[in-house]
Amino acid sequence: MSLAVNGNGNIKGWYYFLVVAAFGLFLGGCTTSMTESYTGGTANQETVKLDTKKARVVLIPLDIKLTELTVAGLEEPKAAWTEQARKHVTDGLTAALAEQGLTLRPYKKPAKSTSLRRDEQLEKLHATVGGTILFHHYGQMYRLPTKKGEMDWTLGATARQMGGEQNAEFALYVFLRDSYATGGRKAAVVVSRILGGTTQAGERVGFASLVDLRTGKIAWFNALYSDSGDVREAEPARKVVDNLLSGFPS
Amino acid sequence: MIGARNFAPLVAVLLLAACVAPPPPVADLKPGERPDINSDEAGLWMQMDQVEEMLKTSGHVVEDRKLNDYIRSVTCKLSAEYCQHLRLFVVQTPHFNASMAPNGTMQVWTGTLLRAQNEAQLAYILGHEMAHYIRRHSVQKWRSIRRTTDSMAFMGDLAQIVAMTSVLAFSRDHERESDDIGFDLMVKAGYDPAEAPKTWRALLAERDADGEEKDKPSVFFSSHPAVEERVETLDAKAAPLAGQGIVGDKPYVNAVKRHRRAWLKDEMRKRDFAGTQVVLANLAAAGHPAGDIKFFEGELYRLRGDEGDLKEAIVAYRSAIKAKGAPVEVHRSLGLAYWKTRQNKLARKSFSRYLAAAPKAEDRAMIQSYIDQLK
Repeated sequence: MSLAVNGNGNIKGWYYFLVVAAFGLFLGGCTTSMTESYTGGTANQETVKLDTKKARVVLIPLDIKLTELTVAGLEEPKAAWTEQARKHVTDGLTAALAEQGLTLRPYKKPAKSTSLRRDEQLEKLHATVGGTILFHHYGQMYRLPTKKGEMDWTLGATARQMGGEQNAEFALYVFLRDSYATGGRKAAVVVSRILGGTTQAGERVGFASLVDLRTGKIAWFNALYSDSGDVREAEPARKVVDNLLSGFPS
Repeated sequence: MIGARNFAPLVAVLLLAACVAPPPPVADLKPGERPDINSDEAGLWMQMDQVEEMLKTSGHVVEDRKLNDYIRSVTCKLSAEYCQHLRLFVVQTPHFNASMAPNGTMQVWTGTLLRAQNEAQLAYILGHEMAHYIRRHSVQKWRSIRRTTDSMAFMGDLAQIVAMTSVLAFSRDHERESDDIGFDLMVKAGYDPAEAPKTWRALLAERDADGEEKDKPSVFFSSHPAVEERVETLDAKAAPLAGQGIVGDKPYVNAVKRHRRAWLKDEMRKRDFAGTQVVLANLAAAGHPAGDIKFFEGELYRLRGDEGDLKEAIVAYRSAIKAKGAPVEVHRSLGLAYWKTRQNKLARKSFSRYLAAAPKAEDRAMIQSYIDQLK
């Protein structure tokens, strides 16, 4: 609700749309046939060793949003669903890694405003870098020549300061956007598919990064894209978490 | 002849009028009220909570506490009950706008603060934004969009266009309502009502300053009412009460003066020279120091660089130096303008004056090299 008409577009929103759309195309191919979650592959897996018994890994609060798809495909943000999903995914991550012998450390919100600001900037940066990896690494057509196909990404040296304050060697970041169709939307999808269209009934895009806080480098990265499953309930949420964590270093 | 084929769109439009009627009215948000977590409104709040988190660490937020406290104090004069539930962000961007999110995140752009001339005008703008919050316009608009697009999913092109125009009409009504409530809030708080339409009149003057015919958006495809209409409506409301109440030019100029130069530099980057001339004239009228305004006038001419502009720039810089409050950079700019017009002696003198006035200037070495070249 603004005061006057203005020509400023929401660039970030468009960029996100582009990334998600591209990711869906690259990984989904034909969206109609995709019922299983797809795990996009991992980065530097062979080079990262993690002594799960000893490693100090801090779990950064999830960057998560759940929405409902209206008949026309608009996304209505859902606060209650998002809160449920935040709990189930956090619990799932904690449980899944505990089974591998890794105890995730909770993130301690810094009292110092400069520290808090730095950490928030790192969270924003992770969302941006992750989106960039989806687009430029998973998106084969948009590979950056200078990367030579390597998974070589970093959140920068400031991550080291956070590592010191959180007393952790690694940070686990998770980004998740998930949408579910209303009844009307599901009907629209059926009609559209009969007519040969590709209208979506809801989809999940997410990625997780293990950031080495001694260097800032992304040591491990995994992405998922799926149009089935549900993170609003504990049990199916755990399945999504297992997909997201597949290939996690050990 | 009206055949069945031609008739179909009309039927669609008539049917549509039934499906896209605006949703039922909503009650005002009570001070401190939060929507139920299962509601659509809570979803909008969550979304804006996330945006607010991003905004908190944005490099574009102006953090000067005095300025923020001042603006906040004006919102509290407008409504003591609601002001404490709003979070203000002054955002550095040289355009005229302000916005209110459903959760009470209020953005005021520096381009707006540069243009407002006094506290009464600021109060009107803040009142307008507060009205969006109190009247819960965001959720009303969302419901209208959702209902309309739901019904549009299986419609033809023409019907979709008609449906979207109804959403925009709804949006314009919200703006009118906010203008109305914003006006009432400022009057109740004791400000001079005549200042409200002046805000828009200045904007019109700026828009039309270059004398070119602008492509005005059609009334049917605009999210906000035409500025002319807003002036007219507010003029009519203000007429019986005009001249009564606080204008508050001194406290306002005082609150923004520390930022004036930074904001004017941003303003210059728009390269809307005719519009910026109107802004400068209004700043001078509002009581900002003539030396500063004249300096930026000179900068404007020098940047524009049309035939004769360098001469105009020299005149402006010289009167800036005579008047009070010009920044030391005026000597450097004058030196550059002299140099470009091949008045090397005068250029050297101005550069030397600059270095004398700002001995620790970052560009000292460069300016010294100019002086050496001009010898």
